[in-house]
Amino acid sequence: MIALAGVIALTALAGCATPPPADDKEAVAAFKEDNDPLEPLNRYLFEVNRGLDHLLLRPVAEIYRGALPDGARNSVRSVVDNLETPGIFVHDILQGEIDRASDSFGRFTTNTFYGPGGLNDVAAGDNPKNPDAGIPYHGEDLGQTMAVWGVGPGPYLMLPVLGPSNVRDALGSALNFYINPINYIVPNEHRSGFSIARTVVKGIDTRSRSIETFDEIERGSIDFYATVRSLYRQYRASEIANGRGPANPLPEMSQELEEDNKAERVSSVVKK
Amino acid sequence: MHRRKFLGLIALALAAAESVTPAAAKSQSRHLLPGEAKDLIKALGDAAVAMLSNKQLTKAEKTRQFRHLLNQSFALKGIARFALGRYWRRADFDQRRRYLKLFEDYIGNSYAARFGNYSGESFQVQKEKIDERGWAAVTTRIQRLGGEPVAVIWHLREHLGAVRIVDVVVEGISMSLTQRSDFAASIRTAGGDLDAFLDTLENKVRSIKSATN
Repeated sequence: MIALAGVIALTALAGCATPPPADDKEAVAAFKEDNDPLEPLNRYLFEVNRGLDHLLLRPVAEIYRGALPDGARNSVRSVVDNLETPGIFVHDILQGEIDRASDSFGRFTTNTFYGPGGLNDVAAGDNPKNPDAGIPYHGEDLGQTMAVWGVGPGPYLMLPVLGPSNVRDALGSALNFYINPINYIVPNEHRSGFSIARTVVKGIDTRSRSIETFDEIERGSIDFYATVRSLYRQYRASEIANGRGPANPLPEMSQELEEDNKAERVSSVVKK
Repeated sequence: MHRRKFLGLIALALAAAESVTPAAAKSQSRHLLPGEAKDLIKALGDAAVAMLSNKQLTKAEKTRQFRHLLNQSFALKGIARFALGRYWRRADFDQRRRYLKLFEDYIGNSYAARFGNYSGESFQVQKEKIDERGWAAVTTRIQRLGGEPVAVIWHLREHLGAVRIVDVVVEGISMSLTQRSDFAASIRTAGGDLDAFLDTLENKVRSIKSATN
């Protein structure tokens, strides 16, 4: 609640992104596509998060990666993923994904009993000769379930510490805690600690696997904030679609390529 | 060592990319035939893996060959126009020329930086799907040493007689779309001033170059 009040106060201080003049139709369309009315505040929080990453998360992730062999790190990830799986199972059901629900159920029982305790992802198989054998991990959360139910993302948000999100996903991650049945097996007074610990471990593990990738994206992009915003959107859209992306990818690209060919012919005639 | 084999693969990839059918010249674009895009991606992947894992090549030589592959197999001009979006139409002849040159440099250097340290990857072509526009989407899986397998989908289309890649989607993320968002935001920061943006792009290319050499 206090955090929310803080965010509202900061918003008031930072002001909102200025919409373009209404007669510039293309600019208005681009503004709507960005769906980022809090852009000035979001950009500020993005810089804060980058500072925190630089001072804390990245160094910890580097130490973690340096100290533990790959096998041990895979076990860490496997344990936290396994603890998340009962919740994923609930979301599979809520989304009407019966096959994926049965995958999650199978993964949880197999990895809990033969892992054991989730220490090894035996369900995934990890057979380099036959990568399609076994059941790979898939994630689900309340934000995705709400999206499947038809809830729109709402404006883009940069959350302090937690990173890129939107109104729907932020609400989803706040409430997701109540959905994972695993949280109810620990005594009430340890529940939130248990959940936060999992989030922290997962965060460090994920960061340790993306150090070089993130450096490359940052080095290659001109506006790093806008690049991350685009990456987050596309990543969420692909997660929500569960690998069944649009049948016709990049419709605007096909349009634009044709349009530009015409424009180009005109421009080559008009060439000064 | 495998230089001859490698050159052969490049030649194959180029032959596939350049294959022109007389009928195509009229309509500018035709529907891709089944297997056409798949074979092209297979040849390109094999050539790239052979080149990247060839330890006898110097880094500079790798970059040069990599950019050659990129230029031949990607519809760089189309991707560049898409990335600039609505600002392309407002740009004048000189701005367009400067932009296209910078874009090619930008993509060449950032991809060379990204893939330059790859070695020992396996590249597996899985399936191909042709949509109603006649474009193809080829699904591949790239396995890095000691890393997770990455799903990469290549979108290709035929235009003016050449079959070329128009987008690469890595784990659901489109490179072309991401670039477009990045450029649009950067131009807006520059207050819509295309020349200022082109200066920024030029500086970026320079900084990527100096970071990789």
